[in-house]
Amino acid sequence: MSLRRVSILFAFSTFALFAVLVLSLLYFYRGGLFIETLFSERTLFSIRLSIYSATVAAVLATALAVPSAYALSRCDFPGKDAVDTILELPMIVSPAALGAMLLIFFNNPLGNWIQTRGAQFVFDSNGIILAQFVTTLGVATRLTKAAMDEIPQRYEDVARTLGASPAAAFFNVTLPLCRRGLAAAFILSWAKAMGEFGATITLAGTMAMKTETLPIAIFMKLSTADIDGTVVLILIMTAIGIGTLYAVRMISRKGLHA
Amino acid sequence: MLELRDIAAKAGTFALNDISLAVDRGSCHVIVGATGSGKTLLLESILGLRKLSRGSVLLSGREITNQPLEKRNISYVPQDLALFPHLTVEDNILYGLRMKGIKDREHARMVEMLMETVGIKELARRSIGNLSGGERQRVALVRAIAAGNNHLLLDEPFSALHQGLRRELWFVLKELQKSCDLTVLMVTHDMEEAFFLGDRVSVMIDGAIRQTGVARDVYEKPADTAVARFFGIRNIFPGRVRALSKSVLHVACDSLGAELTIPMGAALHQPTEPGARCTVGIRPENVMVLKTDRPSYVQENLLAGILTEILLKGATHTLLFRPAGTVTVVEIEVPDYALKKLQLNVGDGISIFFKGESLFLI
Repeated sequence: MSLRRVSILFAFSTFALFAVLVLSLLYFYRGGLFIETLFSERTLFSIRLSIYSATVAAVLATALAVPSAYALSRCDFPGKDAVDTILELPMIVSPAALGAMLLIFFNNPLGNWIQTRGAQFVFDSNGIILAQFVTTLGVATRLTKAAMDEIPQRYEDVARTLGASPAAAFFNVTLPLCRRGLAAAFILSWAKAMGEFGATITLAGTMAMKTETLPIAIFMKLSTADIDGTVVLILIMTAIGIGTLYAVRMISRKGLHA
Repeated sequence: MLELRDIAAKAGTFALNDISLAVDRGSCHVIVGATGSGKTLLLESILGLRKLSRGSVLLSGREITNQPLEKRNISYVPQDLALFPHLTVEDNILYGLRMKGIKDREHARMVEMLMETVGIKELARRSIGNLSGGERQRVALVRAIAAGNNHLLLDEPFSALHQGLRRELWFVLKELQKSCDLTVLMVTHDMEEAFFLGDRVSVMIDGAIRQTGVARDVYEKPADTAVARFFGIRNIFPGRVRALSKSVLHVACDSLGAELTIPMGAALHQPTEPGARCTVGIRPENVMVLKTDRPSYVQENLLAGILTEILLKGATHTLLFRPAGTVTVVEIEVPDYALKKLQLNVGDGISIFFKGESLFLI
């Protein structure tokens, strides 16, 4: 068998693995229950909260990732390696540990001060956004940096010889050139935030109609042995996730070509 | 005028050493050197992309060594051209004017005229990805000039093109340089390009400028053996001055088994006394092949020997000749028609002749 065929077979195997997992849900699928659960106030709240918090977290993470990625991609500075390494923290520390770190932070004097003088994060919907932001920031920065690494520094140099300031060269040349990479960074950050569970539950808790994102709703249904309800929520979450990713991929393929 | 004073810069273990140059206003100065000789590093140092370890850069008498890139008023066309792929041809060309906030009609007319001159006016709305190699070069040149900078640095901009197109663009560049009164500093590894475009030419070897002069002088009188070898001249022979008069030098070349008569002026640094060691060189294309032993007009610099090899190339051919009684090989370049006329074969006994004024002395 040729290498091409083997590699295609592996690609389909990956697809089949996930397809089997999704299709196995249908064993517990009840049509009437699906509609009822989908349009229940609690489910709609979870969907709205998940989309809202994931979007805010992904926007914040991408916005912060752009200048950081620029520095890591274009500049040499003391401590660059340390900054670059710490980006992987959310990947090497489990999300639950990351959530616990946030919880501990808000119990120290500085965290307390932020909570009393600023915004409430512990057991609050703000905590969901913060947990999702912290878990996605590293991914967003890493992907944005990869996108910027692809754009030769030479473009900015030439733009500057033509009279552009460093900022103008960045905004007029580098940023538009890496817009597809940026879109990918945002989409993947959003997808990761949508599915975020460990840090969210640790920091924001499991309060129905308050901090109940879709993953937390799934956890709550499962913990009460409501398998049918769990299946419905998983299907909803899968549909939203795959649908959004696919739609954005189509849009970016059509509209973001250089 | 662009002036470099004792510039030194480093890139890893490679270093530029004490480079001084002056590019006169409205002239084209070409630095020719092999790949890795430091040409790009020099341009980057002039632009400020590389920190100078010493020396200074002056533009029209004003020091710009510590000026930010965008304030230097020097346009730059890198080897890969760096055309902005997300912009159209027109937007690329107008980028500089827009960045400088210049919106007047006169500049717009000037840009239009430039585009017309180089034949890219009808490409204005095209995206960069849809241009051919030659069109991209033209756009890059016009973009650099349209920004309003009179000083232009070119880093082998034509190296990716085939010979025919490259020659065509040499004329375009010459035309633009004259019509826009541009001061151009260009680097290339192509000697033909350097001698065609350069009012003055510098030879760069291992991070140092080894020779600078008007193109003809550099071509005819290499300053040292490294420069001569860079130009591909393999006919370099050690010698010793036997006698000198006001008009000529007599140099004994044991490796050729002959004494050569060389007119004064053949060397940049003339030997001053008999006995001085020197090196004699001649370009392969300046060696004359004779079938007769000694024509009446040849009085000196005649060598008899054997034709050891004929290397056929195309428009010109290379012959290898061994002077009688020696193991030295003299390389000769002859045009195709001459080879046909002479009807030479390997092993033929022939004579070669060096015109005194074609010899150079190092």
